[in-house]
Amino acid sequence: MSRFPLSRRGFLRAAGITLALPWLEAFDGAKGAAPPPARCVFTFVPNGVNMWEWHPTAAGADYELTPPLKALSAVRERLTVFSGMRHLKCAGGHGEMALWLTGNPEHGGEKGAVRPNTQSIDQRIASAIGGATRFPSLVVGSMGGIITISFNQDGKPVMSEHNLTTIFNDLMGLDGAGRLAHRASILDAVAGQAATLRRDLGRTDERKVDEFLDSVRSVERRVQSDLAWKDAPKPTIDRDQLALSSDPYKGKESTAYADTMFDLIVLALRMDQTRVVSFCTTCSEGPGALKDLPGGPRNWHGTGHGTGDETPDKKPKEFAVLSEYDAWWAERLARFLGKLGEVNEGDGDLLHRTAVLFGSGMSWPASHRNDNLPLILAGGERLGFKQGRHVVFNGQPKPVPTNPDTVKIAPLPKDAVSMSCLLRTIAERMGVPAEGFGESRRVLSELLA
Amino acid sequence: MPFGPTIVEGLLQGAVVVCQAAVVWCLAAGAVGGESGLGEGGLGGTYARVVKPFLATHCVSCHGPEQQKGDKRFDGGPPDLTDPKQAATWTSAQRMMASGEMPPEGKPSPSADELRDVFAYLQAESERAATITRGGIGRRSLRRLTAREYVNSVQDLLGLSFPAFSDDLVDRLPIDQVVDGFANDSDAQSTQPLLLQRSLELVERMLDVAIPSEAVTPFRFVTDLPTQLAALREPWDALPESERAKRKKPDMSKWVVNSDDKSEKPAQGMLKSHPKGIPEQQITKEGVYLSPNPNIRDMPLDCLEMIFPLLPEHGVLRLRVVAGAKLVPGDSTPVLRFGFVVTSLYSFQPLAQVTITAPAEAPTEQIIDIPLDLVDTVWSQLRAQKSLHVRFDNSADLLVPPPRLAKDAAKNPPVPRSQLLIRSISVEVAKATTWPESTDRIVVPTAGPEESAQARSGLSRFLFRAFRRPVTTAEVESYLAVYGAERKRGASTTTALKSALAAILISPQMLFLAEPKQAARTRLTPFELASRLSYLLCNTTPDDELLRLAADGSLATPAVLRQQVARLVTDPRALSFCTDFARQWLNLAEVMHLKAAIVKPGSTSSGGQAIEFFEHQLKRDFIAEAPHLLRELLTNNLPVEHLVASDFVVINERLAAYYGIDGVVGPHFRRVAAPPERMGGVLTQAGSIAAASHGHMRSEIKRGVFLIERILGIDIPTPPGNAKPLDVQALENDKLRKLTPRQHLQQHVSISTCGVCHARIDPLGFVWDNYDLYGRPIPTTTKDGKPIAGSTGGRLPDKTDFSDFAEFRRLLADPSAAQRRFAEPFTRRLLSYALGRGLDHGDEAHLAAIAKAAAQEGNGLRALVTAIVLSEPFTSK
Repeated sequence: MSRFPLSRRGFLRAAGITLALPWLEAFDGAKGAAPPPARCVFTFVPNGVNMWEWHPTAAGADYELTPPLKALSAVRERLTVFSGMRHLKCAGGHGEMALWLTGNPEHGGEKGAVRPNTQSIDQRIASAIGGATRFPSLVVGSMGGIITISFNQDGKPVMSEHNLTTIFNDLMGLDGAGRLAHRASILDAVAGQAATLRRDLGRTDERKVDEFLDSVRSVERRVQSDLAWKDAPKPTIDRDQLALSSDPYKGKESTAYADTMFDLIVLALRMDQTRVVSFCTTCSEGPGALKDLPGGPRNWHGTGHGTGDETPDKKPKEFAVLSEYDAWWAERLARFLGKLGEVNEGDGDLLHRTAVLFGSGMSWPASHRNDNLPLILAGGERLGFKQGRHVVFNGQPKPVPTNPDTVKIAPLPKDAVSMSCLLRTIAERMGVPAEGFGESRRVLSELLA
Repeated sequence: MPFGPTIVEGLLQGAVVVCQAAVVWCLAAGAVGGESGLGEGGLGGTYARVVKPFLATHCVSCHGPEQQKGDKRFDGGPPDLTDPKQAATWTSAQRMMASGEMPPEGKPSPSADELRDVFAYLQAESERAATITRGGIGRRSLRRLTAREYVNSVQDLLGLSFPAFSDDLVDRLPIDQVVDGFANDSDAQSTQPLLLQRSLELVERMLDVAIPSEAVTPFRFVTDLPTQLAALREPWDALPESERAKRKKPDMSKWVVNSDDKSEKPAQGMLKSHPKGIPEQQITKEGVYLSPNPNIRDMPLDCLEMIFPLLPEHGVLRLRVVAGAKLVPGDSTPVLRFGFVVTSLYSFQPLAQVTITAPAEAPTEQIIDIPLDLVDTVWSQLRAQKSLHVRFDNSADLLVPPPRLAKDAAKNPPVPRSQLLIRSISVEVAKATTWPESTDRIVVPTAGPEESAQARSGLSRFLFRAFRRPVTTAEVESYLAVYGAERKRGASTTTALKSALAAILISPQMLFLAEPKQAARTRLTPFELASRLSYLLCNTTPDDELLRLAADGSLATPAVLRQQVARLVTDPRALSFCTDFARQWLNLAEVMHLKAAIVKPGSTSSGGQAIEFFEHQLKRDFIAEAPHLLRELLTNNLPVEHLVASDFVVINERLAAYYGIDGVVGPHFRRVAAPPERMGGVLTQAGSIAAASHGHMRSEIKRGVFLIERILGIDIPTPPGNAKPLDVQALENDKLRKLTPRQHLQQHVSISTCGVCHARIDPLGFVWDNYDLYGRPIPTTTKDGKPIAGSTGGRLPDKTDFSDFAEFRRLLADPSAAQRRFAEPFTRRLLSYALGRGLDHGDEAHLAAIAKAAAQEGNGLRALVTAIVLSEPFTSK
C-alpha cells in the first residue's frame, strides 16, 4: 500500500506550503493580528551529572540553586528544576539518546541511536505544526548524522546537521537562492523517476523507494517555502559576530561552538524559520565533540565512569570535573535563555512563548541510571507554564552521601510520573495532542499556572 | 546485528558445541526441506502448537511476567521477524539454544526433537520475513550508494579531479554511518531529506565547476623568484663597498608581480616570517627556501604571501609552482601548502596541499587546481577586501617541534629541517575544467536547429554512464523534458543542461544500485555485475572497460570476471576500497578525534601546553597504514593471515619515525621488514591499538571487545545499563582493590551476570599490555633493568590458552587449526562488505564454497576477493 495517496502537488498543498511571510514580519506589520506562535527547544546533554550536587534540596518556589546551577540565577524565575523525573520501563544506559525524546518503553537500551524506535516528541510536534514554517523542525548536534535525539514517524533517526556555517546559510537562505526555480523542475523529474523505479522494483524494495520519495517531497517542500520566503525582508545579521568556524572537537573552541549553535537557534526562532528545535549536544558513547572543557582535556564520559557513583569524598577529583562540566553547561543554558529573553515579541519576549527543555538522559553517570533525571524546563510562560520552582516527582529525595537510602532507585508509585508525561505536556501546550505518547499517563497540570 | 555472525560463533566455543550446533542445523534444514514439522495451521498454528509450549517449559520462568532476565521476554505472541529488533532477539536466542548456552545450567535441557521443531519454525519464519523485507534469505534490499561512493561517482561522471584540493567533498554530505556495521549495509541504510538536500546542493556546485556558466575573469600572474629577488638586490650589489656600508640593505621581502598582459594592477609578493624575517641564507639564486612552518594549525607565519588586486570567484584557480625539496635525513618531506587569508578575520583557510619530492637541484612544476565554486569560505569578507590574499608555506609535520622560546632553544638547539624550495609561482584562473578526453565529454548544446538533437545525444550518453546501464527512450525523454522546460522558461542552454544533469545525478537510479528481482533467484545482468564489482573494488562508478564488457555481455563469464578483478585490484583506485573497508572494520575514523595532545613522541616544551599541530598528519598516517597493508596483500596476493601475523610493515617516513625504524625516506608507503615489536599486521599498528583503546589508560576491556568483535568476529551485546565498571567494583570491595588489573579482571569474570560475555572478552584484554593507548611500546623493564611483572597471555574464546602476544598472533594465523581463527571471521566480514548486507544462515554454504575456492589458490587476499566476486551471492540477486 502506498503511504502517499496524495498527488505531489496535493501533498505540497496539504503540507501547508501557502506561507507567505515569516511570522515576525507579518506580526510587525499588523500588530495584534495573531498571537506569536508557540515554540519548543529540546537540548540534550548526555552522560548525566554530578548527582551529589546538581539537584536542589527544597521543593517549591523557595529552593536554592545548587553550585553547578548558579549560573542560572539571573533566569531563576523563568525555569523549573525537576527531581524524580524518570523513564519507567524503558531501559536506560546506553540508549539514552534514543529514549530521551521518545520515552519508548519497548526500546532495549542498546548502544547508539539507530534502532527501530518510536517517533520523538519534537518530530511529533513538527509533523503537526511544522507546515507553518520554512523548516518543520531544526535538528542539530555537534556530531551530525545519526548522532541525534530526533526520530521520524517510522522510528528512524532524523539526521542532525553539525556544520554551523551550513545552518547559518540555510537559515539566511544564502545558498542557492538563485537556483530555487531550477530545483523545482529537477525535483519534479526525480519524483517521476522514483515512481517509475518503485514500479520496476516491485514490492520488496518499496519501502526503500518510499523513503527516497519522502525525501524528495521534503526537499521539494523546502524549495516551495524558500521560494515563498525568498523576497521576504530579512534581518541584517552581522555574521562576524558568530563564530561559525568553531571546531567542537577542540576544547578551546567548545564554548564558542555551543554558544554559536544556541545563537543560531535563537536566530531561527526569531525569524520564525522553525518552531521546533532539537539539539543533541554530543554523543553518549566514547570520545566525541564537546567533551572537553575549554581548560583542557578532561574526558567527560571517562570521568563519569570514573566517579563510580561513589561518595564524593572517595572521588573528589572526578566529581569536581563533573561539576565543572555541569556548571559550564548551566552557563551555556543561562546565556541561551538570556538571549531568548532579549528578543521582544508581542507583549513579552521570545522566551515567554518558547518551552526550553534541557537535561540528560542519565542521572548517575557510572551506572547509567535513568531515574531522577537532571532536567530543567524554562520559558513558555505564555504557553501556560508556571516557572520559578523546584518540582519534585515520585517522592524523590535529594541524594545525600551520608544517607545511603537517598541514592537507591525509588520504588515506583502506582501513579508514577515519567519523562514522557513531561514531553506530552509540552506538546499539548504547543497545541499538539499527545495522549498515550511514550510512557505518558497524564498531562502534568502541576506545572501549569 | 553487527556483521551478522550467527551460528558459527557457537562453533568457536569448542568441538563439542560444534557437533551439537551442526546436528541441530542439519535437522532444522531437513525439517524445512522435507516440509515436515510445520503441519497444520501454517506458521501461526505451529507457533501455538509447538513453539509456545516449548517456550513455556524452557524460557518463560526467567523471561516472562515474573522475571525479564537480559530484558528479554518470550511469553508473547508469534515474533515478527521483519522487525530487526525482534529478529536480533530471536536469532540470538536460537544461537544460544544451539550452542547449549540456554537454558542455563541447572535447568532441564530440551531434547533434540524439541529443538528441531522450534528451529524449523524459526527458519521458516525468518525466510518469510526476509522475503518480505528483501526478497528472500541471502538477497539484499535496495542498496544506496554511500556518501563516499556517491561523491566519487559524481566526480568521475563529471570528469572532475582535484587531488591537491584540501576539502574532502564527502564532508559536505551528512555523516553517513551505520552503528557497528558497514555504511553500505542495505538493511541498515536509510535515506533522509537532509541527505538528498545536501546531495543536490553539492551536485549543483560540482556542475558549476564542470560546466562554467559565467565568463571567467582573466587572471594570470607569474613570479619567478630568482629573477625578482635579483632585481631587488642588484642595484645594491652594484654599489661600491663604501656606499654599501652607509646604506641599509635592500628590503628583499617585497616585490611587485605583474599580470601576464599587464592590463591589471600589479600584484604583490612578500616573504613573511615571525618574528625576524626569513633568514638571508634562505633567499638564494635558486629561489626561496622555506622551513617547516612552526604553526600549521592557524595562520602560517613563515611563508610567501601574494596579494592580487582582484578576486576570482568562479572557475578553477590553477597554480603552477616550480618547487623542490632539500632533505635532511630523518626529517619528513616538505609539503607545499596554499590557502586564502581572510584579513578582516585574521584567518587562514588551507585549500591545497602537495608533498614535494623533486630534489632542490632539479625542481619540477606542480600543477594545483582549486575549484573556486567548491570553496567554502567567507566570500562576503573577501568581496569586502576586494583583493585576494594567499599564502604558500611548508606545512611538513613537525615530528619534533622546534623550540619556540629562547630558553628552550638553548636547552634543545634547533634541529636542521628539510627545506621547501619555491622557484617560481604562476597563478591563473583556468577557463574550463579538464574533462578527461577518455570519457564521453558532454557538450553544451548550441541554440538553433540542432539544439534538441544535441541535447538528446548528450543526455543519453551521460545517462548511460550515470545509471550504469542502457537507458530507455522514456528515461531520456524525461530528462530532456527538464532541459526543454528550463529553455522554455528562458534559461540559457548551459543552465538548462545543468538542470537536466543535476536531475540525473540525484535521481534514484543514480543513487541506488537498483537490481530488479524476480521471484526466483536469477543471475545479475552484466551491467548490475559491473556496478557491484566497481563499487566493491574502486568505490566508484564502473569505468569504460567495465561498461564495454557489460555491454557485450562477456563480463558475465567467470574468466572475464576473474581477469577484471585482477585488473582492478592493481588499479590505483583499489586503495579506495582498502581504505573504506579498513576504516570501518577497525573503526579507524575514531583515531582522528583522539586527543591530539597526547600523541607526543619525545618530550616537548612549550610552557606545559598541549602541542597539537604536529600530530594531525601523523594521525592520518595511523589511519592510512591498515589500508596500505591490505593493498600490499591484494597486489601481491599474500595470505590474509598476514593481516595478523606479517613480518613486514607497510609504512611511510612519519610512521617510521614514530615506530623508530630507520632508513625510510619519503611520504609514500612501502614494505619494510618489521622490528620485533611491530610483527603482526594490523595488531601492531598504532591506528588499531589507538582505535581499540578509545583514549583510555585502563582499556583492557575495550581492547578485549575490539579484538573479539573486530578480529575474531564475535558479536558482544551492549552491557546492561547497571554494569559497574571495574574501578567501581574495586571501590566497593577492598579485596578487589588490592589485586593487579589481571587478577581483578579474573574476579570480574566470576561475577554473576558479567561472566557470560566477559569470560570471553577479558582473557583477551591483556594482549596489548605492552603498548600504550597510542600503540607505543611500554618499557618491559624498570629503569634499573628489572622486568616489570605482567604478561600478555590469555585465552581465546575457543578455550585455547596463549602465553603471550606472539603466541596469540600465531594461534590466529595457525593454518592447522580446525577453524581458521582469523581468516574465517575476516572472510565473513569481507563478504558482508562485498554484498552490502548482513549475512544470514543462507550464506553458510556460500562461505564454505568461497573458503574452498580461495584455498585452492593459496588463500591470498586477491584469491579471496576473486572467490567472493565469483561466488553465487555476489553474482546473483
